[in-house]
Formats: sequence, C-alpha cells, structure tokens
Amino acid sequence: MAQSPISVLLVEDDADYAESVALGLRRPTPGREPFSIRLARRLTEAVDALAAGPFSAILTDLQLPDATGLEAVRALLDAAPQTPLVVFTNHGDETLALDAVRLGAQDFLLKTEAGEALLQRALRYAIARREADARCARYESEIDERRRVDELKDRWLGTLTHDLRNPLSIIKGAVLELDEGRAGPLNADQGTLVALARRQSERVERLVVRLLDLTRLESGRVRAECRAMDADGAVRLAAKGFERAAAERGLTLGVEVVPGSGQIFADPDLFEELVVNLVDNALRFARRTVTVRLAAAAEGFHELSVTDDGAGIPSDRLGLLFTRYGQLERPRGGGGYKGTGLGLAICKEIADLHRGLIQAQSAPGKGTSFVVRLPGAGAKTPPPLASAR
Amino acid sequence: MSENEASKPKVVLVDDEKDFLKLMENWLRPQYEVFSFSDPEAVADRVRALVPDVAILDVHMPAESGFALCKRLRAQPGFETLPVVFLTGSKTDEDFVQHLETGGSRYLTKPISRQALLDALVEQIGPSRPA
Ligand SMILES: Nc1ncnc2c1ncn2[C@@H]1O[C@H](COP(=O)(O)OP(=O)(O)OP(=O)(O)O)[C@@H](O)[C@H]1O
Ligand SMILES: [Mg+2]
Repeated sequence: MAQSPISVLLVEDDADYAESVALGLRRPTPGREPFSIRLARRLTEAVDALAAGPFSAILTDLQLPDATGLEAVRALLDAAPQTPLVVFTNHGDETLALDAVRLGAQDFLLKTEAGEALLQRALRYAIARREADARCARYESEIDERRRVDELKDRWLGTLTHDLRNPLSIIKGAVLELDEGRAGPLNADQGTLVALARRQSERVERLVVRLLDLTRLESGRVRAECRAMDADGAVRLAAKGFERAAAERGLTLGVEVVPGSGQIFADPDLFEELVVNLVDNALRFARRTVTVRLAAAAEGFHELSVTDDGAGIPSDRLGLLFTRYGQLERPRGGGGYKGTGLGLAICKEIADLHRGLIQAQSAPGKGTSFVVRLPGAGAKTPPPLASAR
Repeated sequence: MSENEASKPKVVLVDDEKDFLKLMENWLRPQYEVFSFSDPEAVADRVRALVPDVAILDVHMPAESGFALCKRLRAQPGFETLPVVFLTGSKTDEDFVQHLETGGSRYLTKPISRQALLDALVEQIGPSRPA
C-alpha cells in the first residue's frame, strides 16, 4: 500500500544544491513514507506556497536573495507556526543556527554534512518532535484545566459543607429541646422517635464537622500554633477520656513513655485530635489491648505509636488509607460502625502541618500500628519538609 | 404580662434565620423576656420602647449586618453601652469583631449551643432570677 508522502517545502536559491537535496530526499527508504518536494527560490515564494497549502515540513537556507540572518526563520515561522522547520547552515554560522533553534526551528544541518540519510532522518525527527511538542502542550493545558476544576470542586465542597452546618445545628437543637424534655413530656413512642432523630442528626453533624475540619486543614488556611509541649501529659489525658469506652469493650488501654521522650514541638489541640483519632480507631479494631507509646526517634524527632492486636489492614488498602477516599475501599459492615472515613486523612494533614510523618504498619491477623513522627521540643523551628507539599 | 414576666431581663434577638430565632426563643424564654426580629430594619425603632437589657445580633444578615445594626442602636441616647452578643457564622469574623469598638460585648461562633448562649448572657448581664 502506498503511504501518503511527506510534503517538504525546500527554500534554496542555489539551483544545484537544491537539486542534490531533492534527489537525496526522493530516494525511497523501504518501509518509510516517501518525500515529495516543492522548491521555492526566494522567501516570498516560500511564504506564498505556505499560504496556498500546508506542508509536513520546511527545509530552508538562511541566506536567500530576499532574506539574511534570521529573517527567513522569522517569516516562515510566522507563516506556518505549526510546521516543523529545519535550517541549512554553513561552517562558521553555528551561532546563527542556534539562534534559529531558539526562535522555534526544530533543527539545523551543516550543508557540507547533509547527506541523504542524515537529511531524511533530520526531517522525520523534526516532524515527530513537533507532533510530540503539540501533544505535550495539549496535555499541559488539559492538566491545567483539570486542576482548575479540582480546585473549584474543593471550594464547592467547602461551601456546601459550611451551608449544611447551620441548618443541621438548628435541627439538632430543636430535637435536643424535645429529647431533654424542655418542650414538655413525651410519651414512650415519641421518646423513641425523638431519640432516634437525635442520634441520626448527631451522626450527620459529626460527618459535617469532620469534613469542614479536613477541608480547612487541606486549604492551608490553618496554621499549626506549635510550641514546646508535654506529649506525655496530653497522651495520658486523651487515654483517660477513653477509659470507659475501653472498659466497656473489655480492652486494656496502656500508655508507655520511654523516659525523655515527652517534650514535643506541636500544636496542643491538633496533637490531641491526632491521638484521639488513632486511639478511637485502635479501640474499634483491637481484640485485647491497645498500646500508646512515646519514644525518641532520629534527628530530634519523637515518635508516637498506637498499636492494636486487631485484624490488621490488608496491604492493598494501605495506599488510600490516609486520604478521604480510604473508606471507598472499606468492606461494608465491619462491626456495624459507620464512621466518616475522614479520621486518618485528618491525621495525615495534622502530621504534615507539623512537618512530621505518619505511617501504618500492619499485616492481616497481626494487628496494626500507626506511627507518627513529630519534631521534638529542642527544635525551635520545625525542620525542613521531608517531602514538599 | 404577668408579674413574673415583668421581672425577667429583656433580650432583643435579631437573626434573619427564622427557625434559629424560634429555637433561641425556646432556649431563653424560661429565664428571659424575649423580643425576636428577623428583620433588622424594625429593630432600632422598637428598641426605644422596649429598653432591653441585652441584644443578641446575627452578624450576617442580608438587609443589614449585625455590626451596622449595633452602631445604629448604640447611636441612640441611653443605649451607648447596651451589651451586645454577636452571632457570627465564621471564624474569620472573630478577628473582625475584636477590632471593632464593641465595648464589653461578646461574640459566639455558629453553630451555637443552648448552653453557650445562656452562658454568654449570664456573662453580659449577670444571672437572671429563676422564673
Ligand atoms: N487500627 C486499625 N485497624 C484496622 N483498620 C483500621 C484501623 N484504623 C483505621 N482502619 C481502617 O481505616 C478506615 C479509615 O479510618 P478513619 O479513621 O479514616 O475513618 P473511620 O474511623 O472509618 O471514621 P471516623 O474516624 O470518622 O470515625 C477505617 O474505616 C478502617 O477500615
Ligand atoms: Mg477514625
């Protein structure tokens, strides 16, 4: 089957040289598209030819009867910005040739070296490169566009959540008035219904509050108010808050502090949120024990770990664990608990805000350990980011 | 108006969200005499006759902001030091309020709980006698 030829506009005033170039290009290469050549002896003629129809490529001399220096390059790129352009140069003209490439020419060839094989290859490469450039530009603008839409979506989600919060708090407030008997006594059925409405509105409220929390953290508008603080005390206080929940489930909740590892450089509220999220998760999955441990780590960092002896997390689920999408992968049911799936995403944001690190170590059947690394109190300013955000 | 009603402190409540207004009325009614407005326009005129002990103003209202309304109220003779509790929708308002000349007033960030509102009133005008 005949392949459609590569149409080349050859701009060259030296008739003999033009003839030899044309000959070289016309010689067929097996398996490759043949070249067809249209010769222009002057720049004006070339510009007219480009106006009449498209070419696959342009091959031009720099010195023409009606052009010198970079004039030809400028005019040809102007007339056909999308068409790959290759320029001929003579020895000693290399600076000019480089300038031509800087202007947008694909390549340059020394006249004395431009044999048939080199010529054919240079043109085919120029065309392929031009196509690749165009594809790149298309992808880039596509990425920009998607990024923009992504940002809009994030903002929309933020506003939406915000708008949900106020009506929701009014609903909850009204139901609370009923449930706590301030609007008069309820009969048994009414009491059941109202309690149910209260539970469910509290559940939606938790989702909304956590979503707001996460979007706020992600937006970068939240600054961690870091100061030297006593992690030991904060962890013990948080653990105390879980004492009842642990006892109700027959679990042991232990705190271990390796001496000298209690002083960290962190935002106390955010640190507490981090600990509470991890312990809350661990207690939900543990079989017998949950251990919260504080220890020193390398380079002045401190390590908080929350370990349980539960079912563990399959390795294929670890990837999305710290994103808001982690829950998409969650098998339905899991002890009947329906969380928001945002807890670990919030933890990750908090760790990032402290220029820290959070990791899950787990194997099915072997329990799970969440490890957080935070800067120690010795660090007056947070150390540089391990990974740019 | 009963004897009892007359002895309760008077609260002027302004929020364009009517349902929230009703909910707050429910919270306050056992201890306060409550006058609710969903339209800030009418408030300034009525306030002179009511002589409230405290005003609770939503910051974000379409007709007039709570800050502007507060200014108008305090511009009236006798109301220069009226305690005002602002209800703000966003954390960023807090900074704004702090820079405002609100002399002794207070702000609460939505969502607002019953207890938070009651506490704020006690803080502004002291405990009310139980009804
Ligand atoms: N210690 C753990 N052991 C096993 N699986 C866990 C553990 N911690 C988290 N997971 C899994 O990761 C998921 C995401 O946890 P995350 O804390 O983000 O959300 P959640 O706990 O489901 O909801 P919420 O935090 O709002 O209560 C959990 O639903 C659970 O499937
Ligand atoms: Mg959780």
